[in-house]
Amino acid sequence: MQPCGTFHTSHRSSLSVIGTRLQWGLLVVGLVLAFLMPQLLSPSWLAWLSISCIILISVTGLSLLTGYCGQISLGQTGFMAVGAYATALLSCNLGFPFWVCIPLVMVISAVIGMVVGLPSLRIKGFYLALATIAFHFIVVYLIYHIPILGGASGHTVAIPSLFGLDIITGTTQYYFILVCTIIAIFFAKNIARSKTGRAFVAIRDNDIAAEIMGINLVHYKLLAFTLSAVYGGLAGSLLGYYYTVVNPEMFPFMEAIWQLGMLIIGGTGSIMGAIYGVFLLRMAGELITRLSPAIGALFPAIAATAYAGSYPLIYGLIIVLFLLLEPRGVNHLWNRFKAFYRAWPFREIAS
Amino acid sequence: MTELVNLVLSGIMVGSIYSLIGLSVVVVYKASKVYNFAAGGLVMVGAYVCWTLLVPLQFPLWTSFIITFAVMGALGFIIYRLCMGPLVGQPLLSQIVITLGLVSIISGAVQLIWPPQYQSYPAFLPSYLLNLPGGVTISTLLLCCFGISITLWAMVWAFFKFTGTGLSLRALAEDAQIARAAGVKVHNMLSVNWLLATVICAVSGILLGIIMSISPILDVIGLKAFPVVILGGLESIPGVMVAGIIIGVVEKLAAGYLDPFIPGGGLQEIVPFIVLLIILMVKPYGLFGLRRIERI
Repeated sequence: MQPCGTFHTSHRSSLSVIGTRLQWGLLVVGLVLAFLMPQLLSPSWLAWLSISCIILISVTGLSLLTGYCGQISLGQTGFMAVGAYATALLSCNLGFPFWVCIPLVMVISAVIGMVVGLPSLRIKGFYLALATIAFHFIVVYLIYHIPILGGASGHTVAIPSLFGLDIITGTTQYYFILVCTIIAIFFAKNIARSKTGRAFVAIRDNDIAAEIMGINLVHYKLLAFTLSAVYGGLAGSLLGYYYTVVNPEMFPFMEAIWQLGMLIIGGTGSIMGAIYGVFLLRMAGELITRLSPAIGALFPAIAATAYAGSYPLIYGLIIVLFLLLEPRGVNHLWNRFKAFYRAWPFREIAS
Repeated sequence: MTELVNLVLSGIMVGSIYSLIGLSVVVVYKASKVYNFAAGGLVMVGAYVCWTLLVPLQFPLWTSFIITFAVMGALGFIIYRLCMGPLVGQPLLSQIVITLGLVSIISGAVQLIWPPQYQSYPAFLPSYLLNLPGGVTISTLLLCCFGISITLWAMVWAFFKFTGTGLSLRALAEDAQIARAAGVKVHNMLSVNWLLATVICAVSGILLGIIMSISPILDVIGLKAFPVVILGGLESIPGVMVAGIIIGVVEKLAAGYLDPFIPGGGLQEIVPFIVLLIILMVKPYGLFGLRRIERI
């Protein structure tokens, strides 16, 4: 939705995401700020931002699958694990540089995503969610039990290097992740407003009706799963490069629940929703991390597990509160606010 | 041969406890078509509440059971009124994610409230090995738990089939609006439903506490409930007991016979999920489930 007074003079411009010069300005300022973050933030906050961007990539993929296509998936963490371990094996055991590894990992994740998507052709709703949960646990089981993957002690990942510069410091890693995130979100936004995105939304709304109208369910459902797997694999790969080691503890099942929660909190059917949700929940998590010593001091009885316990508790509480009070998420709240101030002093824009 | 019989018997008995956890999920699904992902967490809370009453607070046995059931029933009632009731007409994704949010809350709360060490229950059931002819041994502890599970399952089955409240709940599952028009008080019935489900979780928690020691990661056992209810059929109470026993037996047989061939073993955790995937692809509505025909 564009503000009042935005006129489109061609079909092409009516499809655009950015409508006014103010929006272009905000986008440019935002990108410049994003690139200036290492100068503005302390190293720990920069680390938080890097990991948040990685999770943002994964949740963007989940947004395409669950938000736009309506296939409920709790396997995103499984795709991240696949991406991370594939990166570990390709970069360490086979010695590929990162600009070969990452595309290969995306291809591998795409294939696995297609396989995981096969159940979606037969089952929906709860049943599909359970199938993706089963996928997640099978992946974790395989990680523990295939000897070459290193089991519980994990596997190292080679440090990526670009033209001889090792991407190992916080700043260089942040730029690496930021570039990938911007490209990923750009692609996701464009997929969402293309014919594929419209097909996804039709399938979400009523897949039998969509099939009758001529949308090939097999093609688009598998495409949705493949895309979310590619995004998940990319996120996992970046996570592996960030920590230079991968182990199964990095991919707990709770993470899948929280990523779906982040999507819901932000707003299910939009790419911006993923951004809002990820940063909201990650900010809450960072606050818990910083405040848990203080909470431990206040309540000595729970000091030992104050951090480990409050994390899932607060995350779950935020998710539940959002679902009860504003199920359409922050995106909807923001849209309501925009509608309010665009129409002010009138109550609404008469159509 | 005796090892096979031993494995099958112990599988049947452990499987009956999985059926109880699955039963609480089926009870909630039967009336409201909401899949209760928080079943595992509620089992853990039930186990911990009873342990707290038995060990640190030293309450007598039956008193702690009654108090546990009361507390868990109240918890189920509160969960329905606060979380699930407001979301009755909402899209499926919201209902799934709110139960997942409950999983997260319960997991965090249990980790905060109770210490992370493994705790065990005081022994109050006879626990020795019965030696049957043919070299077969049965643990009387497991046998008692099996008996309790079957009894509770039979009571719930009878409740749904013969009582007025059970009938109202089944009517709610068919079509909530028509049930309301016929005089069924939807919110009251669903509160009773959740109360029943959490009490079943409490019993499963106590049984699990008797068999194995409890810890704040007990809610992973709730994940075993998924294959059980899918195999049995989400609306079927006889199905959940049959499926639980099948899953228990398959688990024990796989662990007994296939474990030596897999590096690292541990097939027990993954076989239920493989069974789940096979069932979802072959017969998604399970052995006894009702097939929903979807129309535009």
